[in-house]
Amino acid sequence: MSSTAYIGLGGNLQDPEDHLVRGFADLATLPQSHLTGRSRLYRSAPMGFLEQPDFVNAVARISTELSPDALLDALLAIEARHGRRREFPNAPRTLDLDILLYDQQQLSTPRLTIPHPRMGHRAFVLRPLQELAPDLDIPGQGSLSALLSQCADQRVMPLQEA
Amino acid sequence: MNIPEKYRYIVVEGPIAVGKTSLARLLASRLEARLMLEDAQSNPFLERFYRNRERYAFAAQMFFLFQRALQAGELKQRDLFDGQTVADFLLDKDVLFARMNLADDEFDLYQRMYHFLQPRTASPDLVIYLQAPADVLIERVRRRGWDVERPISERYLRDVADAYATYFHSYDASPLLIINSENLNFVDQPKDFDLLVERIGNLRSRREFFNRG
Repeated sequence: MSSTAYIGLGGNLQDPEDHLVRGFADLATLPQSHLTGRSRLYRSAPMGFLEQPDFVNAVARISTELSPDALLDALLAIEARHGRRREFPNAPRTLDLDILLYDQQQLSTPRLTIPHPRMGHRAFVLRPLQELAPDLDIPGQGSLSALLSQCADQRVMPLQEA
Repeated sequence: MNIPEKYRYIVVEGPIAVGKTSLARLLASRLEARLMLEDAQSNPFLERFYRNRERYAFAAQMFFLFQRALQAGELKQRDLFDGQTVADFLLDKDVLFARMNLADDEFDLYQRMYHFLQPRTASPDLVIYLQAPADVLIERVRRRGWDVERPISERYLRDVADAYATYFHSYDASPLLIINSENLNFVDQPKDFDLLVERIGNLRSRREFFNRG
């Protein structure tokens, strides 16, 4: 049986729009998986370490037979191909891929926490996610629409790219 | 909206029954381009291969290899730079199938034959990789009801779809447009085809993904 996973994409270095567009293509060719939906790209100001360029973010929906762990390995391999080095939290990056949700599972291992623990506070994740699944419930965090209304002050702009 | 002229040689690829030939025909007709078809049906070993993979894989692959060498020669001779060409296969696809279907020693021999014949030509200016979930492919194979494809198993269709995904995951020889064709019907919905033509016109990255719904 296939599972449905939502993946967050983000980047702010070296033409991030190009990295994200190619990132979708990389997700579309994962083994035992299908890319079934992609959001528009969104631009937002950085959080945490502020002296860096704006971020571009998006969300993909895949249908996959990979386990959460195998999926994480595949995503790390794609990040590495895009030249990502995980230097410090919130550092600039070319392409960042996060498993946001995996079915309605709640999972916590040393490598992986699902749903992504901070997704509920980030408009740049919730807005694109809303495009793909407006009625979604984030296990342990609440409904997507309720979470979105709590971060209405965060500025996130869709880029005109279908 | 039209397809830019820089795309002189366009290839449509993807697993069995995903809709390669139909889309290649539509593109060739829109571009008034030459159409080059794989013509897998003419392989006399194919049906037997689907019935008994181990026994007939090598013969089927040899037939395809020689067919591909002839097609490569034809492409070179016609000169790719004189007019546009749309094909429903990559010349490299055979190696992908050979690796899947041949025993190790057969594959070694296959590779020697391959390097001797060199069925190569210029890289395409654009490769369109059509995808669909395995259950959709199975449904399409059953619906078109070709005798030669009747023995194809669901397992084999899944393996082929996965081999294509793995191949294109690291493909970098040409610009690549990946299409999830599940909710697109280029043949019966002219709007879907127009959407695709527009998308090709707007490509800006070397690898892109396109779907609907």
